[in-house]
Amino acid sequence: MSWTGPRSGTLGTIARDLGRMLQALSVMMFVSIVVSVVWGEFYAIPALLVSGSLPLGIGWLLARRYESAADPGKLHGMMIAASGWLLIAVFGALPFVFLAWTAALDPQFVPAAVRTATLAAFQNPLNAVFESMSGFSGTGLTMSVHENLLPATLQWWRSLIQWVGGVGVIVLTTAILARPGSGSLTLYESEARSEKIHPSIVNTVRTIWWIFTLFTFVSIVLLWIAGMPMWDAINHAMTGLATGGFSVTDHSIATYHSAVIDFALLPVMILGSIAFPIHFLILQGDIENLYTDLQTRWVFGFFGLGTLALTGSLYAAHLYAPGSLPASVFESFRYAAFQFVSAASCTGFQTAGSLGQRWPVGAQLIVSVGMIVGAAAGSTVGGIKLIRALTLVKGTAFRIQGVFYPETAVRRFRLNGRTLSDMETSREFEEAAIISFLWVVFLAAGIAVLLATINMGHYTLENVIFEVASAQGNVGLSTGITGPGMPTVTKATLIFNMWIGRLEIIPVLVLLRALLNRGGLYR
Amino acid sequence: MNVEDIPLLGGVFRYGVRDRVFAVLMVLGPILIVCNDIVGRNPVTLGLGVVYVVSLPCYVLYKALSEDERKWRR
Repeated sequence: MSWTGPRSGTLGTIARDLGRMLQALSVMMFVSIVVSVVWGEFYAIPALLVSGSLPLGIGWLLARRYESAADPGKLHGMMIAASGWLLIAVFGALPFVFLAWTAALDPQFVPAAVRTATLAAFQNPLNAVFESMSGFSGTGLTMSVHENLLPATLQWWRSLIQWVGGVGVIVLTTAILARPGSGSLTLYESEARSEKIHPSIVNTVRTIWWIFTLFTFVSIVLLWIAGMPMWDAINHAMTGLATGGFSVTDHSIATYHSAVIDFALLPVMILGSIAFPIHFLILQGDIENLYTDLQTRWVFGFFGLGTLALTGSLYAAHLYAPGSLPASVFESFRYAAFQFVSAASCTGFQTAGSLGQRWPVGAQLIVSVGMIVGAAAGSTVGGIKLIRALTLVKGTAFRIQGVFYPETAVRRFRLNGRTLSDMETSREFEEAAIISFLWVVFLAAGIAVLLATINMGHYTLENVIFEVASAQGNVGLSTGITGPGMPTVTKATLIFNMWIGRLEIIPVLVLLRALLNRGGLYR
Repeated sequence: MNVEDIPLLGGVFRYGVRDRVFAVLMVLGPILIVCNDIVGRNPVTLGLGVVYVVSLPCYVLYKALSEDERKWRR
């Protein structure tokens, strides 16, 4: 394979598609100017204009120069996905950086109420890239100390990047800059997706966006009815449905102290945890997919079991309303249901009095299991994904049972209603095992770096494991480690964990191998 | 003139799940959000909001039941 030549070869194909992704990003930035105008934040417009012009210009140049490059193959697709998500996170950080520096360099142009330490933290580009990667990957860990003090333009930008990131940057690019042909399918699959709704991949991604947009409108109205102000409802619906978890308030959902809002957010997060093809079938009237599809059935089963276990753990710890049995059971259930669904759907919203030092270790462990496993593949969630966990469990049992059968016995492995051949069984089991193994390896690596770089006088080992698992699972729940005061190495490590977590590791490894190979560092 | 011939709006009806009721919900969504924000929270806007939210699951259920009946008749 050739790396050279502007019109053919790997570099041309990658550069052309990265250029298209940058163009799509610039559209998002220019659209956000409407929010600045509506909120009267005219000081934010130059920052957005400059932020949008850079990716537009670079993207246009790349896409034009390599216009006739070949369609991407599987290897290209993985490299484009890996480098594209990193590039998008870097360019997506520009509105944070430029707006923070606008406030610093021209204080008379920016109202005093906006010139806060929270905004000033984004003068450090690494903090801005962290926020951007956390947004696009749907993680929700934040460098904002007081989100409510951010200008509405940046609050919107954080929600928008999570909303887009939830479905996928490549899915967005395919929908906007559609190129019918095999290349789009390859890119789509390299973004940790494989399900097709229509034979055409362009129609598939358009339908995904269509359904996602409809659900967003319904979620906004639902949260508004539940009692959220409209601006909060818009932002929380976008980040909740994308299972991202950024908030416009200082204490996430705890700000509202409302059981109605907690329960209204549950269906929003659950909608985000179900695969899009299942949504499509349900909207077509095939409602039985809610229980016939293995993943969807297990999403409900997993959420239900986790909530019950967590309710029991919280009730036993007498944390909520200890004086009254019904109130204690209800409050334990309320926090357990919200927090487990938030963790397992990888959303990362937090409610009053949850997690932190108050919750027993057992309860924190249950939440950790939820965020490591995640929910359905093909949805907006992170984590290992339920289907892989199920494949591992069923596959292991199948192998062990095989020992008790004669060698001539013909056995068939069944998964999600499909009977798999020996080769298919091995492939499914191998894929689940490899991704789970790599997941644990990079989790351990992240934990090792954090243990070496943060002040362990303030945090325990459980806190560190929880934080890294939260970053890599793209969850966003925090024990308090994440913040602008973190050491640079810790920030870079968590950015890396969020990046590989969103792409399910392998595309990033392929990119790194290709780069090292090209640099002569790996043969 | 056909709804599908109207620019932008036509796309909402042409793409997605290709069902007029869902397409109408899609079009009404942003209108309701802007109106409710301008008018504020009162019994009428709350009522409209509830009708909007409830119509989605209700229509899905209706479609599912109709589909079941059609399958049963076949």
